[in-house]
Amino acid sequence: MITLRLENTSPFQGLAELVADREGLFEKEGIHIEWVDRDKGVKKEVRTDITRPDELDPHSSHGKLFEQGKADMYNACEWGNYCRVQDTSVQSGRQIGRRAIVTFAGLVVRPDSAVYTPQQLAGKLVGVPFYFGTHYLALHMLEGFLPRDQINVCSAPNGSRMRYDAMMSGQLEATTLTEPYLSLAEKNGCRVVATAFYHGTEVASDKVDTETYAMFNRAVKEAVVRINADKAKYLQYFIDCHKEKDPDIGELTIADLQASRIVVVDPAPIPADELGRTADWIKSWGMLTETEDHTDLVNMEVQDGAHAAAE
Amino acid sequence: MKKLILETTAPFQGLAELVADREGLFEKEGITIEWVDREKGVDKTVQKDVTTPEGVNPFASHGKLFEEGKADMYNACEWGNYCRVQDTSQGGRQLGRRAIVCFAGLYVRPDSEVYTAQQLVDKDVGAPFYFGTHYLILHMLEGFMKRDQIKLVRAPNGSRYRYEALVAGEYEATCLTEPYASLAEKEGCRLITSSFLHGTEVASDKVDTKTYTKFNRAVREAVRRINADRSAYMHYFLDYYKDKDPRIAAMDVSDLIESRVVVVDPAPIPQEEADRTAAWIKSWGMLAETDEAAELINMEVQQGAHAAAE
Repeated sequence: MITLRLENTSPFQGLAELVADREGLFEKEGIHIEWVDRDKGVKKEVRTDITRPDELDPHSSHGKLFEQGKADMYNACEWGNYCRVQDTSVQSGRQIGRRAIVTFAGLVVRPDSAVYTPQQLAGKLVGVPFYFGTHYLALHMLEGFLPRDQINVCSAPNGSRMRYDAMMSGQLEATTLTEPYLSLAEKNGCRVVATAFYHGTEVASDKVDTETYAMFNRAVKEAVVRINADKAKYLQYFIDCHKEKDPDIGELTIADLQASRIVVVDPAPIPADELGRTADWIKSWGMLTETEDHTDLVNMEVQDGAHAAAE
Repeated sequence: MKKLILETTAPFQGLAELVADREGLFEKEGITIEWVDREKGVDKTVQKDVTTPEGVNPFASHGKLFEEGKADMYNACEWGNYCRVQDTSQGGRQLGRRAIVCFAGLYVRPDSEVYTAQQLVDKDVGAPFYFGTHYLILHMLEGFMKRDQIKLVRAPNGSRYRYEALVAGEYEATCLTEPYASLAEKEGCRLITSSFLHGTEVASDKVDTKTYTKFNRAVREAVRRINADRSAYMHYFLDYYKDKDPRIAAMDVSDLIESRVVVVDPAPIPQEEADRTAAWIKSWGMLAETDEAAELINMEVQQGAHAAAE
């Protein structure tokens, strides 16, 4: 039995891995998962004075324990992982492929907001968690509707609960939310002015070799089969993950969630053309400046070998 | 009683007006509505060789009867109406924004390999040129890819036709409004990205300040009623299509998502938004003959009528 130390994950970003763990699929493949808490001690404040990511640590939550040698692998949004891998101090730290869930997120305003369309967010304060998936997704969604100089983002904490509270209290005109907080916001009358899906990837040290990652992915693939066969059953994960810490989520039922927002697919390599386009786009926003060749951000040997072996 | 001849509207773009009509709110304001069918004879084919709106008639459906002098007013998406008003031969001008802020989403088939908007690079996306979802597709996609990577093909107006062409594999993605967005999800299609869009009303001089004030008072009361009990009005989205489409008839209001139905009081187009909207449309090669966005709006009626309807 191999022990893999993974940074902890939430259903919106790691449903398949949580199912694989809970249903014994990793054990069946000979892997024991030890979850380590990456969010302990993470600052959860809105900083309206921070309007760019370059003042912040990309490893503030995702990758934090990995960088300290206390985790072997983590999953996070693909854009953020390009930046984290560029800045890693773990010599072997590289992306090894896309995770199973394609995450759904939305840009949300209060019920009394005068904003109804993304265009109306011109110049208005949008709270985003820099280096986390919804930061990049907010840029993508907004730049379709606004010139870049009319996009006004500031630093908001990772974790949808805190961003939801900051938006409701009026600190922010809009923010990005993932499930189950998107559904909670809608239930409470907030409006979702734009939505989209995004990919995430896994970053691993050399402890996760081709054979280990193939075993890991076989378990995840079986979880994907199970989730897709009965999505309603697995919606409960989105409530269970948060209900003990958050009574508002404890009051939700799966009828408040939408199964169509849960998209899980077999883990797969990052396609080369998408890798190049993604890196170019991140650079266009002033990040990833120290990466000359984006293929340096991926362990091609493990990525190609493990996904083929997991077929 | 004043008679207004309006081009027909569907709930996704005219819910409040349909409610005001059905519940006698226009009559109460002294207006009789006569609906005229703008959809008769409209081409519903996909034309993959037509990849830009250039050469396409902006009055193919919205504004068709208005331009023939057979309607006094119509509502359609704001972007399209800028283009229609530029090209009008009837002196039509926009009078303000309609009540519904319309939800629309970009969908792919269940078996599509596309999961994110970026993955639509160079893939055919069916768009009804000059209709709201055409412009919304451009907005949504240009956030995720360069303009030269967006590949549109002409698709018909009417979500039903676009949905059928999507399922038939004529293109990789298309934009759908309700109830077809919900039908698509029910049948396993995947939403890729979604947003909301404004629409406006275009009228002839038959719709003066006093008339538009009365019209808006009725619509405002409809908005109040819908917002007070949205679930009671969701059936409009099914009733409108159920006789023509058995898949919609088989749906229940529980298949629809209430948060997608957003209605607000009709209001003037804010000047800065009108300017930004016009600049964006021009950036796509349309609206080339318009110098000022303000030319596209009847400011006197817009300002007078909305203030009076308060």
